[in-house]
Amino acid sequence: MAIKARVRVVALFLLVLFLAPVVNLTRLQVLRSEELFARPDNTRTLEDLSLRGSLLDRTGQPLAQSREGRRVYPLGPITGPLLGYMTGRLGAAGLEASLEARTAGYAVPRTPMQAWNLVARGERRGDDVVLTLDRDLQKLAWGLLEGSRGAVLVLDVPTGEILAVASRPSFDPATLEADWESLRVDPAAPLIERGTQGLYPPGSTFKILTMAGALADGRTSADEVFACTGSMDAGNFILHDNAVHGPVRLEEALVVSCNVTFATLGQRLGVEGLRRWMDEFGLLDELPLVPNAAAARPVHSGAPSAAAEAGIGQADLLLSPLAMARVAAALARGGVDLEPRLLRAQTRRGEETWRPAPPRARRVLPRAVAEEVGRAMTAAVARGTGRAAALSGVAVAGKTGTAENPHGAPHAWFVGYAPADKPEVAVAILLENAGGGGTHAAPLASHLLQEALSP
Amino acid sequence: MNGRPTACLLMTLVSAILVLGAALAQAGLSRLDPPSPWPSVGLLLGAFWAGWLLSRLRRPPGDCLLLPLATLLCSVGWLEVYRLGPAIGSPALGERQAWWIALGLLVFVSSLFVPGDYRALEDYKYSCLVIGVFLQLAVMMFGTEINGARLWFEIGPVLFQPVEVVKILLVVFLAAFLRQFRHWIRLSLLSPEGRLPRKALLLLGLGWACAEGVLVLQKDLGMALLLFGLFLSMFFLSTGRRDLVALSAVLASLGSWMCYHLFGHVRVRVGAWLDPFADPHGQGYQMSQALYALASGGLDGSGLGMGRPFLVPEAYTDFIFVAVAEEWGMLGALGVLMVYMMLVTRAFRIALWAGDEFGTLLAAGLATLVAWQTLILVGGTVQLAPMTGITLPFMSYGGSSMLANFLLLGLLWRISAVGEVSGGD
Ligand SMILES: [Zn+2]
Repeated sequence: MAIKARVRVVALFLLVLFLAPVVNLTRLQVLRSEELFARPDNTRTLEDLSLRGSLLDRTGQPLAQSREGRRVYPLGPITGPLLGYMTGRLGAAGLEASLEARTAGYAVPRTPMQAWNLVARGERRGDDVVLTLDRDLQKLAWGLLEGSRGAVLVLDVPTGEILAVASRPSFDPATLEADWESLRVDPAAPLIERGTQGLYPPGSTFKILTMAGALADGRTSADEVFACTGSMDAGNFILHDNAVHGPVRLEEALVVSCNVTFATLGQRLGVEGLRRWMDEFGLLDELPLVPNAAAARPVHSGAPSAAAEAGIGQADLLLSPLAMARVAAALARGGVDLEPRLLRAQTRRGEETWRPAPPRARRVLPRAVAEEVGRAMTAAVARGTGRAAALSGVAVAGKTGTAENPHGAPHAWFVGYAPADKPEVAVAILLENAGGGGTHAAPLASHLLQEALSP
Repeated sequence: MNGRPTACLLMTLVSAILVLGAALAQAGLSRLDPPSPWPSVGLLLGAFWAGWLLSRLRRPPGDCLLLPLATLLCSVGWLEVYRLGPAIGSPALGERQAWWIALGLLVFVSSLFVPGDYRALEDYKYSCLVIGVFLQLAVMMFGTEINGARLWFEIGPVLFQPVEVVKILLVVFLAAFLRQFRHWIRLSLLSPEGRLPRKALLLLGLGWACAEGVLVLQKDLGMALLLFGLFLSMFFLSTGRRDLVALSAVLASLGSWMCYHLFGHVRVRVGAWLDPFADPHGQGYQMSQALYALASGGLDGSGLGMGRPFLVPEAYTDFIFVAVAEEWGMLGALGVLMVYMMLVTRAFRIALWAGDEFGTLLAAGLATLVAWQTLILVGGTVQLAPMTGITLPFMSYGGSSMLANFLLLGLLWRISAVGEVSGGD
């Protein structure tokens, strides 16, 4: 073969190789374009930060705002993982990422509304988003978590609005880029928002849902007396109680947190019945007005003991503090659920440009059932496991939990509402691996409710 | 020759693209208050047309499509560089690049008017080798270190990257050396007495070792790939020994496998290539940003000055192709690839028409150099290969590569000028 013949071979070979980038460009720029573009760490979706609107608390105080081309967060770590961050280098996360489209400024208008704003007012700045958070309550909730890992969530009972979501550990958004390398590998996961996205075994706090479901389904009645011998056969193992409670009525069983009683109710409802009740309370739904909230996970285990264990909030059941607060709030409203919400409105120079539809009240339980569970919760704080949550002059309804988990010491829980007779706020407190809910979580609830109820 | 009117039309088209593009870029950048593009555009147009007219004066005439194709690439590259300058905080980038391109054209024209014959280069093959090796060793020892690699000499305000010249010197050496010894290599391979092709194998081994040496000592994956691809192509062109080429390819794969396991920086590069999203804020940052740039460009692009190509680190050098793909869209990027294919085809055509074996080997070697360099770089930016730090011929920002590429163009032109006369076209 002569040299010139080989030149043709090499030329042909190289020209054919040029087809590879042609094919891949088609793939990346056309076929996979949308999928790639929608990835969360894509900072290209962020317009110029100096034009971006603010995030405000319910009174209009700024929680996130743009200053000289940067995002600043006046509350710092107090709103850390909830608001997330927005930087050119790291992209956006948390509410900042979810509300990106609402707060985006525009160099070039993309909608008729933006075009009008630009022409009529020379306005390029994005809208502000008003959140339901209460700045002072948020600070208080954050303070309560000092020295702990966990979350505090406060719901407004009449509206279903989230007043506070504190999560620890957190990060300081002002030094995020410098701290990034250590934050992302920190085993305590300071970037995760625990109040709405953290999923935990609910432990005994779940008994309020088991009780409500069993009463509503007619699987038990307020008068039924359970014989607690301190243990029971749960199917494939012996389930131990925290004490031998002897014969107990249903209400008393919640007051002393009797495992035998609620495991029995769990068995009567079955795994499917418990799943259905979680669904009734809306715990398995997406929450359009609480971006990034994690839906609860019902029992998946097929073990014979699953129903009994789930009745006392164990098995492989997982819920967020928000979900437990939602259940407490529904009981506080006499069995009526309102979808929790974190977004109040979108505004431009104080004028509303968007407001979510008013919450739709949905009856979940007969009023009598909700009141029965409420009475038992009030008694649990008055003289049962939740005594540390009591307030002077105001009746508190609540339930503690001590949730066993594979990551060490049990999680301490408290879920409740106050005042018991005319409820205003519902709370959920979770302390990771802190121990007993009655001794660790309930005292925080007392402080929190005191402040939340003071005018 | 029948290409002349086409070439003239192409030069006019290049001018139109440059003027229209500059106006669009300036409008798109209005918020950043960019420097006026018009002095640079004037300089470029003057240089393009002066180079074109002067090359027409030269007798015998050379390939008339080389310059229009190269200036087309220069224009597209310059528009992106000009546009990126204000966005990355160095507004004078476009002006500096315009001067480099103008100097490049000066190098091109000068190379056309150097008296004598390109064949004289054949006698200087060992000088080429010695100068090349000397430059490479010198930069490894005395060069300025930037980003952990010693690839540059700092001469006053400019950075000179000797490897750009070394590549061309290497092609000249290989073309001359292989032409002189190719029969000897072939015969030594075919000798019936069973004498093993030791010298040929030694030669191949040497090429392989050079490439691996660059990879290990300079941590320059792109250059290692380029050197090896070039060496193998030229070895095949001159000797036609497919078996040895295949053997070398196997050895190269083995070498790559070894490097992957021995060197952390190679593993990191490969990891960032295969799954950039595993560490999108660390090792995979550049690649994932490049993918977002491609995705946001889509079919027809964001428009010049309207996209955000500056988010990709090194967009004006290593990732200039991604910047084009974002703002000119897939259609623009395919157009650029097409121009490279035309340039490479043209260079191979010169090799076929060349009057002598050295000319054929030299032109084919230069064509191979441009083709491999484009393929490796573009492949690295569109996720077909690990990202490598080499420049895109005629488009990336940088003086050394611009001057070296115009020198290469001048060499091709000289070969074509002789070839066409003896080819009787
Ligand atoms: Zn008991």
